[in-house]
Amino acid sequence: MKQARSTTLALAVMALAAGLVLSRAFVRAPRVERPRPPSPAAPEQLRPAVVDADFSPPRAGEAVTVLYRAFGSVVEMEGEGAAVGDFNGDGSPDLAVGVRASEAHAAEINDPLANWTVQDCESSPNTLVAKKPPLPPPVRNREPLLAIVHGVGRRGWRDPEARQAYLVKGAQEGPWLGRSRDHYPGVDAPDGRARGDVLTGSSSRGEIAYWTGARYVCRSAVAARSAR
Amino acid sequence: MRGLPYIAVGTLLAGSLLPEAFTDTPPEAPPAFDAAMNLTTNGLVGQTQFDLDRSAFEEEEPLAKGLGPVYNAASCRNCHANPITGGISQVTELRAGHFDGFNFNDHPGGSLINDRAIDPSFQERVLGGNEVRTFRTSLNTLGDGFVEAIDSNTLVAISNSQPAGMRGQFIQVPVFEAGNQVRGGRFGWKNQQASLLSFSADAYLNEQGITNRFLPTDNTSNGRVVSDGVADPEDVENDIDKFAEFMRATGVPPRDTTLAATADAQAGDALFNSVGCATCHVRNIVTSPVGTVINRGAFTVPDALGNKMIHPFGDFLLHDVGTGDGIVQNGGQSTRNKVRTAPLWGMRSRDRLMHDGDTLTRNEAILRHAGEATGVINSYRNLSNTQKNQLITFLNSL
Repeated sequence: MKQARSTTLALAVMALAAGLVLSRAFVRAPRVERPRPPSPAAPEQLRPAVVDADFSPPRAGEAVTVLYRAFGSVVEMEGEGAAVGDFNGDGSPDLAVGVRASEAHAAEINDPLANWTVQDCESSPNTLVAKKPPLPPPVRNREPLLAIVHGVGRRGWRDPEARQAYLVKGAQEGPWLGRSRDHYPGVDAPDGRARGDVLTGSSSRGEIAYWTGARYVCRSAVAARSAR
Repeated sequence: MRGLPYIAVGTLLAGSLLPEAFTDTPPEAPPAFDAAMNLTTNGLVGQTQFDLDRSAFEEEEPLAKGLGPVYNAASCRNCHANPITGGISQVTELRAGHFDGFNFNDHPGGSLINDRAIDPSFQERVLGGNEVRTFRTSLNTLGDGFVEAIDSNTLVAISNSQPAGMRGQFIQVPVFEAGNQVRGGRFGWKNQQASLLSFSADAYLNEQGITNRFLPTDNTSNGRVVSDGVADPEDVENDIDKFAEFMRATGVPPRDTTLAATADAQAGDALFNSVGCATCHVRNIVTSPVGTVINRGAFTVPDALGNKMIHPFGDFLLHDVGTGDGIVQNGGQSTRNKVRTAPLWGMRSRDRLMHDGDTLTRNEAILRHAGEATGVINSYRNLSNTQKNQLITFLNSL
């Protein structure tokens, strides 16, 4: 019996060893990453152009509703003028409105975790140099601001999903108008990574505001009209 | 004794299955550095060889070695340094071109506008009519050996698992060392490279102006042929192999384990999933099995890189999240306004965010996402400030 047990044990050990060797042989069999055909998802990745986008001006009360959706009660609409255009160049209609910071919500408007981004129109960062683009100073009570809501799809700023919103400090007071960037070849000058329409102010400051891909910046309309 | 054959067969089977049981739970990829900031090999090569490769990565190239005629930096480390060699930095590169309404057209001499030149008459500038301009921040290279070891089919599977409106684009790009046969791109903001050797050759030429065996012709100055006076190819010591080996041998960016263990970070970890960030910022990927032949036959996945669990918080696919950058490289016109999902591992080392480094706070970086990410970001907007802080704490632990 003792010999049989020893034989069993020896066979078991040998079988285990053979199994391990065998399994490693399988693991080590050459495996080749199979070449893929061009991405099957590629055609659908061609961003669908926004067709038949609705660039109509806001009807009564619409701008106020959209401002509330984007900013809550922290801003109050200033006057009646609201500009509609494709300011960020994605083909979808965006809304720009002159507003004033609400006195009752001063802390909320500057909340670092707010659902909107406060930017200083006068700052024109150049990330090639070591200096960081400056963070804007806090918004003051009743400070005039340019509020912009980026649109989604053909409905643009009217779409309930349209909540990407900016509060631009330092811009002249409205009313603002949306104009094609073609009228302002000068915005392509250094720092001008502009795409989409340009916002033109109507005050004596003669200023335009435009999207750089990351922020809104302001510039003299005269300079912006000059060809490079 | 009659049971002996059964025991033997049973044991044989058990022996066969034992390694499979082990491979079911892939081991974690090792960290790139420890708390004392020692940069250690992942085991691909010994520490001595790793340190030699690191020295090559850190070496400042002199004019005599072929630096220029136009370039951005004299050393890999100039741009890949934070918090340790191989990491990120605030250094950006400039790209430009023209969009004619249908197609992106490269700036004369290529979309990359080199910021430095060895002679002022060689200096590149953005020429008029090239209204598409963007900066791109330097990328992390720590852990890239594991990224290279991801099977292209894994990337396709990730894309296929994403919702239709958020499906990442998988592109295939040439592998220089495999005679330009194509493989799934994964390196660079546009996924313009698929292998670390190709990436090294590309960067050596385009960032430092050093021609090499794969790219033997110097860059022009805005399309004008200029010379640095050194015979091509200039990389006679094959530094590109050392760079590739260095990156392949690094571990992955380690997390801040103290911060990650806090209740806030753990709550933020859960929010990262529930909000939907993890749809594109994919947290778990397993590399190819050891012995897999990748890079179209040019590289075999070694023990150190194969079958490892990594947490890149990225999908290595291209997406349009409304940020541009308007440049086309080798992915075709459909990639014009797409960038690779930024892998978030090592994010705690970065202060300038997004592809252009133009966003400074975590909250603003999240809010800057639009396009394919609109639904996810609106879910973020619906969080309370406490929850947003938890999510950001989690991000700061990466």
